[in-house]
Amino acid sequence: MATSTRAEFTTEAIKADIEKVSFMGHPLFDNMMTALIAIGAEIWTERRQRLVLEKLLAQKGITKDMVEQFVPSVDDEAAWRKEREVMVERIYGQFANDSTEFTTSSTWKNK
Amino acid sequence: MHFDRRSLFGAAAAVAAVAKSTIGSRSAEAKLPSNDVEPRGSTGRLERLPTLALEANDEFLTSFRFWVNTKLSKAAEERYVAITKEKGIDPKANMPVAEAAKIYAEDPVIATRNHAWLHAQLLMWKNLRREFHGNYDAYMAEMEVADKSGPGTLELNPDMVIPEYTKHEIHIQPGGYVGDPFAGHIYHYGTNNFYSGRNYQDDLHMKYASNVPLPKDGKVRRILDMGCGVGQLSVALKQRFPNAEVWGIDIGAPMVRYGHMRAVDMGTEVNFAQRLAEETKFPDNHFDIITSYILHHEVTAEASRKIIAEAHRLTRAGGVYYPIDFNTAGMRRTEGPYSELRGWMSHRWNHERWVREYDTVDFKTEFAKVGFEVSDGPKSGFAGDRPNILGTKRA
Repeated sequence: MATSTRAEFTTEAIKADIEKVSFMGHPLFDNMMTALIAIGAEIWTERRQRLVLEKLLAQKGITKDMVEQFVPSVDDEAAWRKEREVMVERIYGQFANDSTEFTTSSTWKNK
Repeated sequence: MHFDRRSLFGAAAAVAAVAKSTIGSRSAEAKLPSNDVEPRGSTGRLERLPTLALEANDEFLTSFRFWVNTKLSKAAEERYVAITKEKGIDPKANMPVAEAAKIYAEDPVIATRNHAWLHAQLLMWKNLRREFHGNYDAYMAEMEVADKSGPGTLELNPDMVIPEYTKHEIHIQPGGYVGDPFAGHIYHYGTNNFYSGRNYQDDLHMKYASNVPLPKDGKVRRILDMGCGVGQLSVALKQRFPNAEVWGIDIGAPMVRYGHMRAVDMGTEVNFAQRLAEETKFPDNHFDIITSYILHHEVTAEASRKIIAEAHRLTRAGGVYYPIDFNTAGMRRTEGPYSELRGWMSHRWNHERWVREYDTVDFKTEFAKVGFEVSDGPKSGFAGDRPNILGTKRA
């Protein structure tokens, strides 16, 4: 997050500890479930963008077959690789979380 | 009726969906700040999220949340019934949370539902936060221009002592209402997800504004919206009562900053101020109408009682206080271990820190104690089919 000298009018919040609880018996399963949700969001995002594109392209006479035949340039490939790396982090970044201190439902207390 | 904010949000939104909106989209006369950050324009009252990707991501998580709150929660409920029967447990038994957790929370369907509810929500907050912080300077500059723009005024109090109880990350919103400069942006778009996408046009807030009861003499000169958040109700109230002076106050400076910016953008004159609802600094008998929208369950029981007393002090004789919230007219959550566990989880993991204290406040008694004449106000949808409490100050 950015560091700034701008007036933010904030005060430090009392942090939630949601990322330190396992609902599924082991943090690995929780991470996998979170990743699955994120993947679903990614898939829809891509599909939604494609739907818009298809509408717009059709208006310009560009067909699906022309898309299939397209060969990307070297620069395109490099840029797309970078984007893929960001996507990988977005989906799988959760697995890099420190899960050494976590609680499971068997240890919840009425507090 | 299960005391569950998520499903009740949905229920209230469903009511709003059929309400007729009497107010149009943003005013054509609005004087937009020169650096208005609105790359994809607006749909009615809502500035579209700044990228198609973020909007689509948000759409998915909204649909996913709806699925979690309906089909997956129903499946979890069925597992609860089956386990209860299997183990010969009295479904209305009082059971310590730790024991209920051991019995129910490890069931795969219930566990998946619990995880999906909270982690989809967390993903949603993170996505929004990434966008606004990723374009920090542009969004901050936009707010800074709006801070000094009208119509309406903005009062920020950087030296104010912020009570500890207000600093929690309620709904696991990173930074909560006071700790992130974009808390207002994040809250506004994030709660659209809570409302299952049915409040994009402030539909719910418009409905409440149109339902707010009038003082006995019908005169409305000044209105206060306590704990106004991003000012959706405050703006709707001004649009219903264009000749009244409308104030929206909230402890979260980023919340009122965003609310003010949005009101300026809509050309609606509302005065926003960073102030505490239990200590507003307004004179006695100053307001004809006071509202609060889902404020009380997010404050301590002590603060809740002080807010009720403050509302009474501020209301003029014959004026009204209409605090829209869960179960203000009585009746609490249903009994039983699963209900108790879900309520506790909302408190503990969704960080609705004060919801269990809220449950101990008897609004009718507290309203009567400070001198309000107590009656049933219009239903809010936050307590099923039950009415919402209404306080009228005696002459």
